[in-house]
Amino acid sequence: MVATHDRRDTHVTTAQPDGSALLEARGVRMDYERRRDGQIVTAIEGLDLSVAEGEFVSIVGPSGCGKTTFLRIVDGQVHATGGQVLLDGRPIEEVRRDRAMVFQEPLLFPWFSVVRNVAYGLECQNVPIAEAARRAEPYIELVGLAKFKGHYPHELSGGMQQRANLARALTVNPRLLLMDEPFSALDAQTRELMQRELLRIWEEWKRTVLFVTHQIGEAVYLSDRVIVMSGAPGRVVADIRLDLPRPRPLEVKRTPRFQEYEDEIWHLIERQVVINFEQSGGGEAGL
Amino acid sequence: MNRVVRWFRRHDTFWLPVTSLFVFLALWQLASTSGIVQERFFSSPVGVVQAGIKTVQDDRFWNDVSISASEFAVGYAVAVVVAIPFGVVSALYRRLGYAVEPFLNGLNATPRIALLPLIVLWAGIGWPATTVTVFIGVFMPIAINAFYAVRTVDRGFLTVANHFGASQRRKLRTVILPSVVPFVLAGARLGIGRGVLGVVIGEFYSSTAGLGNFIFVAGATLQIDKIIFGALFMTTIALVAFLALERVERRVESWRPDLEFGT
Repeated sequence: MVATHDRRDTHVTTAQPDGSALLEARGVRMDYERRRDGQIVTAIEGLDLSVAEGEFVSIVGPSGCGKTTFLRIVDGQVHATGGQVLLDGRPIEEVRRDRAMVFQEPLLFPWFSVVRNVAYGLECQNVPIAEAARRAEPYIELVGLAKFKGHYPHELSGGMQQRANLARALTVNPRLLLMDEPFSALDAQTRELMQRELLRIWEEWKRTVLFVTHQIGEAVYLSDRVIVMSGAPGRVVADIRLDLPRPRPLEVKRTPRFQEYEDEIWHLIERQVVINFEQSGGGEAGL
Repeated sequence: MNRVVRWFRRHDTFWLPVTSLFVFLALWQLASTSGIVQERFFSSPVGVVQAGIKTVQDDRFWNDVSISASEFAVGYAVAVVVAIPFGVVSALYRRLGYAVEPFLNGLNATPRIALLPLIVLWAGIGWPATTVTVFIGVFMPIAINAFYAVRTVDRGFLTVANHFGASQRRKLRTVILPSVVPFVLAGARLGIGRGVLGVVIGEFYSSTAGLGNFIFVAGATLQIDKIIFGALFMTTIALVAFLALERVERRVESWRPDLEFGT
């Protein structure tokens, strides 16, 4: 991979160097060996990002820009090949329980009831199952599944399964909640309702969220800040602070201010998509 | 009238099999008594029942039954207890799996009857040889199913477990074993048929007692009705095992939704 990359379209990069951020990524790089031909591919290069405590930050970008990879680095599932990711000033590898992930698929264990699934994170911390279940209950209530806590996952709709997925992450009481396109598999109406639900829960629960999505409207509706990433190798091309009132009803989506943000971000991504498209010889160009 | 039709519609799982069985027995009986087939070679339902009544009054028969049943039960139980951990552990460690795989598939492809002379030589003629034959027959499908079930465990579930920091033991208990259960049960089902077959083969070849021997002797002396009765009795043992297994299945798989695929 060529080391010189184009930085002309870099808008703003707010890396707060004062160390007050909860999450701080500095010059993160991710290389991996492609299985098909053994070539080294750079997924992320020189990514700087900082997230303050209590912020709701979304990452958008063209497909293959490494946004999910970055989330997995923050989660600790994979290790960055370069740069640093600090949580509360400490390298991410050293801290384990401070983050929780809401996965793209619900990934609930079909052999456990809702409550056992939601309590799973606590169970893994060696909390006895009965106590874990008791501590999971407020979160089951918070996501609106109180009536279904004894049900098995297959008895729930897709939206309800994602609520359980969210409750499972909340139950371990993480300082940083990681969400990987959690609503992408839902139908349009359910998705809108879930977005509103998420904001309601977030306002009640007030913690830091890092949210990956390919849907610009979703990012604008939910976030305090939207991070726009470039096509591979991924890095931050824009960091947009949204000036929209909270709490946000769904009607916000139809205001001119909201649509301006959407347009602005779309134009940023469009350029990335075009670059991506030309580099890949017209292959995949989707978001 | 309408009620009768409705009764038949609702209870089709009952009267259809019963009727087909009855028709088959009637045709068989008719063919024998009318002389279309020679009763000497084909017997008849009535003949089998008569032979059965006579046989069950004989203490030697019940001795045969208890020998066969114990061969089956011991061989089956030991196979289950050994095969599950063997299959699971071999697949848990990638490199161990590569080493074990050729034996697993190779031994499965080997016809067991071909090994019988060796088994008799090593284990001893009679009960031990037959029990080992049962063991091998039951071991293979369960071990193979457990092995490949572990290999195909949903990666997403493992990601969840890793993410929440599950220990290896907890991953085994909460993700891997529950995923393996249906495959092991399918293997255990196959194992019942293979195990009963093992009893017959083992006793035909190496035993002077047991149901297999009972059938063998009846065959050598052209007692067709006793052959059929003996075979039916072995089927009954297998059916009892199936029913027991189904109870286990209903207990451990209670969470699973019904399959809805046509009616």
